[in-house]
Amino acid sequence: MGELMLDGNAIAGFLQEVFAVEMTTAIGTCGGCGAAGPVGAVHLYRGAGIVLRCPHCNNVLAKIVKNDSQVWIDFQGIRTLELAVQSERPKFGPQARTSEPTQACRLPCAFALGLKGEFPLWLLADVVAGCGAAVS
Amino acid sequence: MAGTALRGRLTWQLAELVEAVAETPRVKTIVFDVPGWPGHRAGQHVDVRLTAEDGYQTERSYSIASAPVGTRVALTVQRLEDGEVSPYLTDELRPGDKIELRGPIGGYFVWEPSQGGPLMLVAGGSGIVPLMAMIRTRAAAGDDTETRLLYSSRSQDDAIYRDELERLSGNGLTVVHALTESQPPGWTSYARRVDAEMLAEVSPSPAERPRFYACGPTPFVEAVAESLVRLGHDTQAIKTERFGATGR
Amino acid sequence: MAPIVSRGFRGRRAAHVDPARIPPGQYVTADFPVLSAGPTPHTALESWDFSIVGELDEPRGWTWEEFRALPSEEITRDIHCVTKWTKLDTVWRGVSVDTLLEGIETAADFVIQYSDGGYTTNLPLEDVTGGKAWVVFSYDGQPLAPEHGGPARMLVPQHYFWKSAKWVRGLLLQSADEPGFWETNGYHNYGDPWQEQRYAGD
Repeated sequence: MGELMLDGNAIAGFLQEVFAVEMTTAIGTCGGCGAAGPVGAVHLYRGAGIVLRCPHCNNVLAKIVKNDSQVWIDFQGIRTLELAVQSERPKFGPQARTSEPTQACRLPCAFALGLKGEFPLWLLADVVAGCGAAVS
Repeated sequence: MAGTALRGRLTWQLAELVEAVAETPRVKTIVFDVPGWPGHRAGQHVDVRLTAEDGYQTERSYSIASAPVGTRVALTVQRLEDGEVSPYLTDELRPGDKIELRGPIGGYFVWEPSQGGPLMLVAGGSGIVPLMAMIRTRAAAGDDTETRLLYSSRSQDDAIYRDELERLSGNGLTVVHALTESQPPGWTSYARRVDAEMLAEVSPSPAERPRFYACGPTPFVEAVAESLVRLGHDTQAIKTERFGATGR
Repeated sequence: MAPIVSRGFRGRRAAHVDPARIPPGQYVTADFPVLSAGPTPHTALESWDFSIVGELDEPRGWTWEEFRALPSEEITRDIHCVTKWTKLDTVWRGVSVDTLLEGIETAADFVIQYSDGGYTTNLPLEDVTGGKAWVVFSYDGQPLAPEHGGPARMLVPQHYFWKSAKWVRGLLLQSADEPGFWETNGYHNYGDPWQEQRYAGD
């Protein structure tokens, strides 16, 4: 592995900046070997940009390049990304609660389906938050 | 919904240094006041951004050492000899100075008393920092979850928080030190690098389903995680945070 | 919020440098930072070979012994990384790409460098010929360390250093350009540091 390798924790701040949700607990499924695990545990390399690799098969899960105004993310190596989201229940009736954990949201990697290349951050945040649920 | 989204967004903010405490000859704890700090969970970190007069900028991440108390955030920084940022933080920064910081960050390498245990913490060098936040948070909550810390340092002088760890021992917390390079006279604990045998002796058994947190330089964390798996522990119960070659 | 200056912070950078040697946006370092897109490969010299493949009559290849028997030269150049560090007067020893391509006839206009571990990067063929590129095996008088790309890497100093592939194993000659590992994900297709071509669209 080498001394230089870090893990997904090292870019937790950056990922949260881009996606507006905590991402290290998201579960990614490797498109190469099918192994699933939290983003915080994936192997991270700093080259010209950031490379995330599967801890099991070393497949490139994602590449990230950023400057002051843009981010490019290639997610082709991730088959699916699973995020836990909280949905807000309607505020009426004795059963009402302000928030409650619901089922995990499985995002088919729209990213993996070819939406790579430059795309605006608002779209990313919308897709992530997009199941109609409030994202915690 | 808007409130939730705002909470999610990380923004850079100014933090003022209020206190600096030498921990060991090479390690200092720097305490910041961060206006509006929402509190944090043990194991989380902050990103720090420094800007030179000519516009040169660089960022580093530092684990939060303290349990959440108001707007105070303590970082414990190891001064790396040829470091670019750490000598600035330990030697140049003075109370009253402000730096840019964002956080709290992280959700994977986090422990809260509600998650229970038994808890097994394995620290290599400066990897002790986030684990100390877990120990302090546990103590502040009066929690008595069975917790063991295996802490590897080069020498006794390099072991950070030694006195506090001794004071907090008991009430379910066991602290075991491994000193890898030099030991004081009469030393009876481990005097070698962490290995599978040591982990087997110190850790709860797989049957007890412990939760592991291992932190430190990448080669240390790799070796520990590999040993734990070979000892029969569940991979998913082992959480790791790698600090790179020399630690942050 | 515009970033504020951190009082007293200088960073670890060399002073007293002729500004004309520094491309826009770069900072001179005395270190040699190690950056990588993946784990360091460790190819044994007995298994190592270097190839020229693609649009040419016959692919060429050299074993390590054959490669080291080729005429080599010492090269001193400044190198510039897209992550903003510049290192002056780096000293290498290697084989010129002109030597490797000697006698080859090709209609190809582009070359893709490919490496152990799967990394690729692309350039126009004319930007690796005419004394502009080398396959180097020694840095600062020592065999090139694995973390810096050893046993051999490309040296193409007129472009940002991501266009000098570490652990290079060959050159693929093509009529068609083929953006490489980083060029397909935000970095500039050509990467001239003097025009600050860091990102796509610059």
